[in-house]
Amino acid sequence: MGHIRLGRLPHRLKWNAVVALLGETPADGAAIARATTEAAERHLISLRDDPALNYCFWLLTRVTWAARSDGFLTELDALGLTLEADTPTLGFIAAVTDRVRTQAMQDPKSGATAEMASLALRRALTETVGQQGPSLFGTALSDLRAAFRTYSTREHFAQLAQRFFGDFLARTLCSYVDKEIPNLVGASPGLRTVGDSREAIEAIDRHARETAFILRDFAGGWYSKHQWESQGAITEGDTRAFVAYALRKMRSELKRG
Amino acid sequence: MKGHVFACEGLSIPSEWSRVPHRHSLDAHNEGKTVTDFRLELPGPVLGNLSPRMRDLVRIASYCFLADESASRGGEADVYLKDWRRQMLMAIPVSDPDFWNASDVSLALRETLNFLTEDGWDFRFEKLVESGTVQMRLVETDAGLHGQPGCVVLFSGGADSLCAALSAHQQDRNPFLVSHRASKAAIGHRRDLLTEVRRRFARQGFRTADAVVSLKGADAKENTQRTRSMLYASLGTAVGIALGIDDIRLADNGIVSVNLPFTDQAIGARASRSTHPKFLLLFRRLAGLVAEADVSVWNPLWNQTRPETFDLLKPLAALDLVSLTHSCAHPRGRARMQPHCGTCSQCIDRRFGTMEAGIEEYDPAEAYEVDIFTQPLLDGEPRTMATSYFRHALRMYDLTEDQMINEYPQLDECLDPSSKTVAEDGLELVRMHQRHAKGVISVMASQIAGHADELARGLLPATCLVSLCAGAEKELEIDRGRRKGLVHGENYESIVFRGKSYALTPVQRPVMRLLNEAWERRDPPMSWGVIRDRTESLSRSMSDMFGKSPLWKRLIVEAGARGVYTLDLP
Repeated sequence: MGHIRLGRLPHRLKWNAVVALLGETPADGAAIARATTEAAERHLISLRDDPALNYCFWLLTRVTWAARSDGFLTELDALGLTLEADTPTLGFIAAVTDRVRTQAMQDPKSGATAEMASLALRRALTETVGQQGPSLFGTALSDLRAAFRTYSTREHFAQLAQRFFGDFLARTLCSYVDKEIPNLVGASPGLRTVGDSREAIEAIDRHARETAFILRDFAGGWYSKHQWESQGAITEGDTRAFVAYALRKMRSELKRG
Repeated sequence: MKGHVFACEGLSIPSEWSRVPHRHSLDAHNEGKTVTDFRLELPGPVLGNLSPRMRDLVRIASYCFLADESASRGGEADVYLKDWRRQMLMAIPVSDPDFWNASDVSLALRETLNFLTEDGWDFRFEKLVESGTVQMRLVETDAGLHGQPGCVVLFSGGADSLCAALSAHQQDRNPFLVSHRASKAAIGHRRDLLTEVRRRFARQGFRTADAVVSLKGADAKENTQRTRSMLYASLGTAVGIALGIDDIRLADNGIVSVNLPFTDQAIGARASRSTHPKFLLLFRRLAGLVAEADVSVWNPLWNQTRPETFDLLKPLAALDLVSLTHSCAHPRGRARMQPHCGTCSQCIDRRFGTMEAGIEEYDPAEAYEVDIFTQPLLDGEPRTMATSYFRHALRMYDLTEDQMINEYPQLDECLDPSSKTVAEDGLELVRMHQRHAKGVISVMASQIAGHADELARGLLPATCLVSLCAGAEKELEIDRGRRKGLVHGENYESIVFRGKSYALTPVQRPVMRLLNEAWERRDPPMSWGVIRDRTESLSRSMSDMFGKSPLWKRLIVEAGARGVYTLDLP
């Protein structure tokens, strides 16, 4: 028990270019992210229709809006998150995890994207609460609500969107390149030690998160407009267009390096 | 996502699934179809009380296991994991189809399997006709029960299940052991281990039930076996209910149970969830519906690292039994004296764990085909597993408790949102991982120190773990900051240790300075050769220099390996 299934990158021209960069200039996160985006472009384009990714972003917008309401618990209940007033923050996050998994089960074609979108959502939630100061282990739903209330403005929601898409993008890119990074350790000039491999993966992760900065202006404006028009009842149809835009924008930014 | 239909025990494929491209028959008797070996060997008292519904649970779990082995999850170069998830459509005969087709039961079954495997599962249950074509053979063994068992322990023959079984024995729970045999490779060593356990602790105790569920005469198309723990848990529950026991223990140490991905490519169930807390939670819900009673299927080691689980063996003086346990993921074709490949995730975790626990004598390097620390790690699984395992520990080592949750959202999936202790449970898991990271790094540091001379002289292979990790010493030094060590005189003519002042001889002073400064910088422990070279000492050994001092073995101690020294400071 405790098994891990590993994979490798295929021997194709564009993936070979990624492997070469990893071995030669592993600290150049921008160059590796650019080459990876080019190699995986068709797949990255297909993510615009992914229902699980869209659901996770939609849930993030709805939780943020719900935090403005006096009936926070009722609003969460309507989203399928049935909780008590004294539920700790970690209980809330665990409930979100269950909710997303139940949703993803209905459309299993999302595959690995569903898992990465779910992780990105949960990290966006815990980081947002953590930004307010108190430990995640000592906070309850009221703290979470206070944190998200702060983020339900145009400027702050823009940060939240960056956090979510940046994390999703970082996980996606790292899941590809980490199929080869460990194999290059000790076998290439740029990756002499395990410490070097750690720096390489962190450089790509950092670059992906920074790339999502490009979404801020649009995300803030989009949120403000749609929340005002729908009075908080943003639909999954509304977010679908935003997700497609966000992915396209990040992809072109990555390719610019 | 590829669809697979499995028609079991001669059932025909339901019409709504007739267009699914991959169709399989799981049937022992019809020539030309997939042949299975499927039998339960149970003591009479268990067999006599095995209810039809519990037989159904075992039958369903067994067919899911056989189906899991029969359908490929794609190859190594499936970069987007398109073939990893499968749609598994199962037509199975059961004694009570109405019960199993009921929406709440079906949903619980599908959710449990979906979490465990990430596959989509759907079922059609039809009435089982008891006839000569029934595959699941129930074989009554002549072993009695030797008293009323107090718990069931799922026993794989690995180190964790040994700890769980002996811990239950020490609690006077008279554990009843349940095993699954998927291959002959596991039979011999498990029998040897059980024989020794019985000889020492209870000649008539540790009664067993065995299940043989495997594809016969055909190699599996898929060897990930994500459904194996469903089979294990189902067998345990069936046996437990038959014996009137509701304490079913499915043990893995907490690190393996949570199985955080130590490489970024291990998404979802690519890192197995065999005893994951969420799986156990989902399975308990299913088992509760089947048994119409609460069934406690739990992991007694859920919050312990591997070295901590070995503490359970100490009161019974059973640490040496670790040498009879096997953990390797690739057991086939291994020599009896070298049962571990050394490079799979289980072997690596076991190796670090036994070294951290200081029980290397019962788990020596010779038992591993590859000694990851000093032998070349080949491209592919060996190097990926070993370097990623250490990199993961490095990453966790620097994280605060809150950062752990941010960096590893997978941890929150281990929590029951409705539990009153959800925050405490989360903290417990985080701290366990922090202890694990610290332990892994201390073992690696000892190995680097212990091989410092060979490293310096370039005698180690470039791709052994010691060579690949040696550069991380610098990283640790930067990240971990400086500690405050001993209170000492200007030239170390005296030091204060545990509130008492000790005078040092001129020969001892440079060595104490070296060790104290290394401890303050969090450098790894040092071998005698390194200490001698750096202090230009003329002494023959550390014991030669400090052996008669009250500080020997109190302040100056060996760290994880013989001849490697550090200071024992808080």
